[in-house]
Amino acid sequence: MLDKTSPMTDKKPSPKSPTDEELILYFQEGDVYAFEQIVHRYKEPLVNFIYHFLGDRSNAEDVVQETFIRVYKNKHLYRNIAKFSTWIYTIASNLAKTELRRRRRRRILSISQMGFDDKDYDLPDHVKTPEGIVDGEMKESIIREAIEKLPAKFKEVVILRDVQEFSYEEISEILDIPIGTVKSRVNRGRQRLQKKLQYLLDK
Amino acid sequence: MAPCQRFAQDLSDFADNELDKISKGRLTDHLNKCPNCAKYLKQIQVLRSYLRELSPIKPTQEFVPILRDRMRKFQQEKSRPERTMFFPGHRLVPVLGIGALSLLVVFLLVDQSPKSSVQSTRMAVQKSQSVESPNNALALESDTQDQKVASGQSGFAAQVAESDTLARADSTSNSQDLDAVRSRIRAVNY
Repeated sequence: MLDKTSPMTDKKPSPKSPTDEELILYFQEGDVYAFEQIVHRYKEPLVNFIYHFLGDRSNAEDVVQETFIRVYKNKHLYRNIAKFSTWIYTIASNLAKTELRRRRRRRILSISQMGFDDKDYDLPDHVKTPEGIVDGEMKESIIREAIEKLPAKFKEVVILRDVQEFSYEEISEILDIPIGTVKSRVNRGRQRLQKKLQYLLDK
Repeated sequence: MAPCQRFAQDLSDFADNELDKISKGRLTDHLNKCPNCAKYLKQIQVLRSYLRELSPIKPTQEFVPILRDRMRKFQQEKSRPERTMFFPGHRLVPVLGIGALSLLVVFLLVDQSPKSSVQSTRMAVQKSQSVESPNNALALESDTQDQKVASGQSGFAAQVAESDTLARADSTSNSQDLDAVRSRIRAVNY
């Protein structure tokens, strides 16, 4: 479905591929192929963003699916005053936060259901000596784990800024917080990561 | 190792190339004097490069087919209300229910009012009859008993005659007939 060229593209001859804003406009006019192109463009970055946010691939895909369904259902709500990427990331991040809240509630419930005799157990930590770290996958999994353990408000800005490379202005729009707050949260998130991953960062 | 608190934000902004000229100059001066902050800046830059280079997570192959399926289901759900426009049964259910209930109530009220009047008239008639005839019968009975006592007669013939007269007395209600019956009884007794 995603390989088909949008018939609507014939209306607006352009040497380049249509922008996201043009695609959503075509979709609003009824062109379903334009929506398929949007899916093609955004499925991977969104899955990456949500995966880092939730730390779970299957849940990340569910959230991204729900994001696309929301875009599909509410296409008429998009106004061309904002960037499309900002709009779709806002939907995705809101859904991810809802999922996080649901998980937290579930965790609280499972803890409250635990009897006095139930003992908590610690998962074995990764090998954290520099000698034990083989470059590549191991390093990545440690970084991903460190990101996942960040508080949500730091995690989202660090992912958007350092992984997805959004500008401060865009992050401010996506999360609906002032730029100053974005900068401060990015700084604090980085400080926490730097503390956790110091042995990896000393090159 | 933490950076100097005063410069922590500037260091982060510097790594992002978001620092204005004046702040940048001030920070550069500080970095020349503070190896701790210089090291921290280097670590932040390495961290950023690591985060940028994280291998992308690719969605599974089922992602698009599942999404298509969900979109199809949504389209089907969306088209359903249009079909029901011809017969919006789900909307009519409460209206019809209330209508039927009120009709039932009205029917019961209408049905009960004549019934009660008929019943009451029937009851009144029965009452009047029962009031009239027992009185007569009682009066008749007492008369015949008096007559029996007076005559001192207590034979079978007298009893037959008595029951016969009682039966007759039941069927008659006017006093003239009663008098005639009484005179007959007397004639039989004598």
